[in-house]
Parts: sequence; C-alpha cells; structure tokens
Amino acid sequence: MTTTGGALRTVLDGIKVLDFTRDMVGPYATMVLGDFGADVIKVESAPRGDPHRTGGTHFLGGESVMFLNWNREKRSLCLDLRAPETRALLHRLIADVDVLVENFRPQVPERMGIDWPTASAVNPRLVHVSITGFGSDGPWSHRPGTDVTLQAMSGVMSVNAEPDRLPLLIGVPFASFTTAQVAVQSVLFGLLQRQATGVGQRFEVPMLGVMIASLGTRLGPYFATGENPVPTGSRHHQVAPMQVFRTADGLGFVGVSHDKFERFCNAIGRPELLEDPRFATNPDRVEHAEELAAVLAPVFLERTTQQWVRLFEDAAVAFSPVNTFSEILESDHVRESGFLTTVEHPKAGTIRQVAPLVRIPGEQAAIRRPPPLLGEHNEEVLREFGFSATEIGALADRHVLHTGTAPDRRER
Amino acid sequence: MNRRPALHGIRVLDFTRAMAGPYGTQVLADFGADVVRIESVPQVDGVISDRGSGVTKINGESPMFMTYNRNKRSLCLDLRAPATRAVLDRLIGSADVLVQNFRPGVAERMGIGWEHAHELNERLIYVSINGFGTKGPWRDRQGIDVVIQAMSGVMSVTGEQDGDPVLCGAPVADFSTAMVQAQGVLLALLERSVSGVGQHVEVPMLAVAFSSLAHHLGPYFATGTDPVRRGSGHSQFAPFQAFRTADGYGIGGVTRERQWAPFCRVIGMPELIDDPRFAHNADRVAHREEIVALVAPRFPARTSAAWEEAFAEAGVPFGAVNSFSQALESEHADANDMITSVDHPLAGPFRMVAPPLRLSATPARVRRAAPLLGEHSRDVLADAGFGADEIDGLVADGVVVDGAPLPAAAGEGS
Repeated sequence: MTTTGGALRTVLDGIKVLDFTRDMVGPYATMVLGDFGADVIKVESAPRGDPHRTGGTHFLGGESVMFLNWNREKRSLCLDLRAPETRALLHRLIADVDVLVENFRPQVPERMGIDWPTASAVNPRLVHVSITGFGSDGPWSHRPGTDVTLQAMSGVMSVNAEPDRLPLLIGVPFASFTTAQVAVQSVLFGLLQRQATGVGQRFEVPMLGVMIASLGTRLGPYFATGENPVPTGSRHHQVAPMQVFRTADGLGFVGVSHDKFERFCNAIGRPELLEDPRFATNPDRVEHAEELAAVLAPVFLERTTQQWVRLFEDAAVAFSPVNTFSEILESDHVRESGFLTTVEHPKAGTIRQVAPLVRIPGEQAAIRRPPPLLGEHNEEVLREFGFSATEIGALADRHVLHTGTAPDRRER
Repeated sequence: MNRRPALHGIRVLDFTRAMAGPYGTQVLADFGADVVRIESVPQVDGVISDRGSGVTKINGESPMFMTYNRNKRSLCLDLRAPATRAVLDRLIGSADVLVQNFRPGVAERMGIGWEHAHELNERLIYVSINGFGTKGPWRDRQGIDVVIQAMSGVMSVTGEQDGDPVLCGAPVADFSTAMVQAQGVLLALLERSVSGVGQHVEVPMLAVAFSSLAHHLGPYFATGTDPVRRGSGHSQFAPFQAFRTADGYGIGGVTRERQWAPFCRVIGMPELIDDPRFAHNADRVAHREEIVALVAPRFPARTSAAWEEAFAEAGVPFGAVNSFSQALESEHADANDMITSVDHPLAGPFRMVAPPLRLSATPARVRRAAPLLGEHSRDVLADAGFGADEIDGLVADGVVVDGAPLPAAAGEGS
C-alpha cells in the first residue's frame, strides 16, 4: 500500500482551534494548523480586530499585507471581548473545541476567563497553549515581548553586527517565526498525548526560551568557556573561509567546511595556500581568518558571481550569490520547486504566499481559504456551536457580535 | 495521574548530521522518543562526522555537537561493510521514524532510501531534510545554514543600509528548519494513528527560510520592490530600532498607534505627540530619519536597564541589547529554568538550554548528555532483537563499534 498524496494536508481534519492570538507569532502558528486541516476560529476583539489588520505600511483592498500573509485558512469571529455576556459565550465555544491558543500578557486570560484552570474545568480535553514573551516567572514576565526586543534581550543581536558598529536586527522576524513553529509543535504534542490519555494539558511557549535555544552553534562554546562571542559581520565564527566576498559583478558567499579546503584551493587555482602553515587546519584558518580573507579578496574579484557558482558547483564547494528578494523569489528554481502559492482574497485579489513548509515530495499544496474579513464568519461559527438564530440576533443587537467593514487603517 | 512522555515508545533512527537535523531530533528526544544516532567508523563518502565540529573543545569533545545531541543514544557501524545493510534493515523494520539529511541519492546508495524503507516497514515515517527541495535546478546542491541565508534573501535584508549584507549571528536557517522538522514528525505520527501507515515527509531549508521572510513578503508580493537593509530599524514601523544608551544599546519603539503617546512621554518629549508629521505609523515611517534624529539624543541619558523599566511600565516594547552572559546568566532566565546542565562522561558537567516548550503534565526532560560514539551500540541492537552472540560477532568483525565507556566512567544526566 502506498500513502495517498493528500494525507498530511488533512492530518488535523476535525480539530477545532479557538485562536485568540494577534500580531505575528500566534497567527503564524495557527495558520500552520489551518494549513494541515484544522478549523481555526480567529476570535477578534471588536471593533477593529487583530491590530495587524491595520498595521504596517502596505495595504491591499484595505487589508494590511502583513495580516494577509499569516491569516489564511481561518474563520473570523469578532466579539466585544469586554461585554459581560462574552464570558459565557466563550465558555460555550471552549466546551466544544480541541485547542485554545492565546498570546495575551499575563492576567489578561484570567480576566477573560480563558486561562488554563478555568478553561480546563470547562473542557478537560482542551490543549491550552500560552505564547509569552518572557515566561510566566521572573522579573521580566510582565514585559511586552516583540520580535525585536526578544532579538535584543536574548543575546541574538549581540552577535549580529559588523565589528565596532551598531548591533543589527536580523532582517527577518526570527524570534516570532521560530516561536510560531515551536507553538505548532506544542499543539501537536498535546494532540498526540491526548490520544493516549484522553485529557488535555497546558503548554507555555516563551519567546525568550526559544531565542536562547536558537543561539545554536554559539551556545556550546559560550557554555564551555564563559566568553561572550564577538560579532564577526558576514564571517562565520567557527569555520574559515566562510564569508561574503566581492566578485567582479556583485557579492558571493563562500563556505568551506573543514574537510573541503584542499578542493577549494585547487578550484580557485591557489594550491600554494595548502602549504601555508597559517591555513593548515580549520582552527588555524579561523585564527588567521583576516589574513586569509585578505589573500582571497583579490581572487574573488577575478570572476563574476555566476562564473564562481559554476566553478564551485563542479568542485562541490558551497558558494552562493547573496540574492535579493526578486532574484530568489522569481528564480527558475523556486518556480519549479513549488515553494510559493497564491490565494484569492475577496478584497485584496490574488495574493502570493509561501506554501506550507512540511511537504510530501511531489505534491503541490492547495490553500483552501483566504485570510478572513473581520467577523466574516460570526454567524456560521456560532450556529455550528449550537447558538440559535434568536440568540445570534440578540448578540448582534447588543453589539457583542461585530461584523467588520473594511478597517480604518488610520486609527489612533 | 501518572502520564508518560508524549513520545514514549517512539523509536527514531537518526541519520542526520550537522545542526538542522540533530536539533530537530533532539526535540523528539526531549519529549521521550528513543532517538538512536546512526554513525559510521570509518567515515563514508557523503556521510561526514559532525562530532569534531568547531574550534572549541572540552576534553576533545565538541560543545557544538553536545548542544544538539542530548537525550540520544549512539549506534556506530561500518556503513561500508556489506553486513551492515542487513543490520539496518532489521532496525528499520522496528522503527517508527527515520530522519536523514543527506544530499539527494546518498540515502538510496546506503540502502536506506524511502522506497526501500517503506517496503520494509509501511508504518515508518520517513523524513528527508534537504537544502533546496527535490525539483528545480538547485536540487542537488548542498544546503548549509549560511548558503540558505544568502540565497533565500534573508541576508539581503540584514545589515546597515549603506553596508554589505550581513550573516545573521544565530543560525536562523538551521534552527528554523529543525523546528519545522519536529512538526513534520508530529504531524505524520498523528496521521498514522488514523491510517496506520507512515509517509514520506520532506522539509526543504530554502522553503523554511522563505517562510521566515514574513513581514517582508506581503509588501514584496504586493509591489515587486526589493526590500532594503535598515540596520537595526524595522521596515514597517518607526521609530523602532536600536539606540545608544548610557551603558550600551537598547532597542524598541512604537508598533501600535496607542504606544506613540506613552513613548513620547517616557522619553520626555510630549510635544511630539501631536506633531502632524508623526501622527500615524505611515507618517512616522515616511519621516523615519527626522524622527530618529529627534529622539535618539534622549537615550544616552539613562542606562538600558532604566529604559527597559520605564518603557515596560508604559506598555512600550523595549529591551537592552544583551551579551550572552547578560542574557544567559540573568535572574530572569534562571527564574524560568531556561538553562540546564547535564553530566558528560568526558566533558564533565555541560550547560545547555532547557527545552523552550513547557508542558504542564509531561514536561520535557534532559536525561542524558550527547552520546559517545557507539556508546549504545550493544543496547540498541539488543533492543532490536539481536542476540548477544550475534552482537559479539558483529563487533568482532568490525561491522559494529562498541564505544561504551568503562562502567566507572559512565555518567548519566539528571
């Protein structure tokens, strides 16, 4: 028997997720759950919903492109979260879902009645995930955690700089993105375990913990020596040569792992470097990295980036152009590999997105649902949870339910 | 209630090397899976050893290796020996998950390709991590963290505006891929619990890196314009960047309209609140340089820690740019048990980061340090049903390497 191609896409079929998250980290995680078949109900706060609907600088059809990028596959339920009757309404939803995800600051879930003790009393099978900035204990637990503050406070930024210049932000929201992936793991762990035990449990995903884990290659040496690593710009700290060089027409990144130096020297036509005692072993080359870079810099100017690409491909040495977005996202490789997809949105039109990451070889992922309009699924969702038409009408009349028109991006 | 770890009883054959693969399988091990690293002596072409990586060593052991290989066992074989294929077949027959990050074709040559493995064990979940996917002109290229950072566009948005692209100081492509890989295994285990059959799961590093482009993607796909590097600044918000403080650097600023007034009050410039040039985020982004020139001179007046406190009270995000020692030795990291330690037989007590994911009923446990080469060869084979005589024969023939330390030297983590 062979597996069917669509299996992964429907792993989470029938799993209902009540999603209270906003901004990036939580919504990115629940999008992944939606990509794999979960029914994600995005609970938004009236009147404006997720702050990212109005955030950033680019809008399509009145919707922020940031919001559009990580809210596909969800339905929107927009409520007045402060209304007294909302608590009971939420408990009716919680009673019938599998997963609850929130990224509020401490104490907010308690006030809303969606914290773990309250929610698990309503539904003992609930998998409950709290994404926090700094964890629930310790002096920083009350602070707002955003991608950049986490990059800074975790030590990640301290190694992200040119020597002697201002520290740099990693150009992509690394803290938010990776925390989202760990949050997805937590839901899957919870569901797997519930199969065995029949009961849910509580998960906490602190962004600071995730960022500290991401220090990766830098951690072991720090714990071994206690020495703070120094930023090395575009040069790797454990391997040399591994850095950016200028070529005849642009920039290229060469990475020569410890066992490839001989191949590298032969490929660039400088076999004499193999005799140089300063460059004999990888530790020698790391110690003399600046001298090595000075020797290699003029060599790389001799050819264009594409000439180096071909030459190193033949020699099986890692080399790559430093691509811009358009160079990579419009490349033949990306077109053929199916990494990108499109989705139709009622207001924004056809929008391009990155396809789900975990794949079955050869299968093209299909997106089922565009990012929702604010409150688009109020009635549909509540009906499915057993609310009568009369009840829904009454909630709408009292403005507990809110159906969004296009949000005003010029909000204050 | 006494509950078992989430992945109790799940057997993982881990053929991965370097970081993206091992860090992902370590997540599985942290939550109770029995992860067996399959290693080779002598080395086989295309199957490098990652035990010696990096320049820093503790008693000859690589701290990089030890950071991503805790909670695993090691089975060391001569992967070139003809007898090894039969051993691997038997292991595959009783495993739940196989993870490999070889370049295309290597797994097939070794006799552990998807088709073969699936024939031996239809319940097996087979994970391939690769650099560039299985299609397209770059599919045979080696995907390492730095190359993926460069090719994916990640480096193009990291660096000073007037400077060269900069390598991200943390291994962003490897770490993200590791986390996505763990997801892939969990998804396939969930699906298998319904269908009873495993499947082939692929995680291409390039696609993971694309996904991490995140907030740049929407504007790029909407306009086709390449984003620019902004040093420590954010493309979508202003003021939101690093500032020099009395004792270092801090970073933060305004991402929500409601944070603008408190931000101005904290820095002592309430007159900016109603300045029409800075009324909304889009205005502030358009006047980024003016606003930064106005507010930056305020920051050297206080220390990073003082700014952190003041902004935290006002609900505005701000953090000091911490060194490793400031972050990892902080009272806060300690209060949340973010750092742990495990005894290694050669390297002694070895510090590492505790699993970031917290489960209320069945938390992750750090049970053992990274294994010595072949430390568990005998145990693993015995678990797979090999008899003592058979194992002795394989060891005597040099097919299997027994690397277990002498009992006195053996150490196990808390």
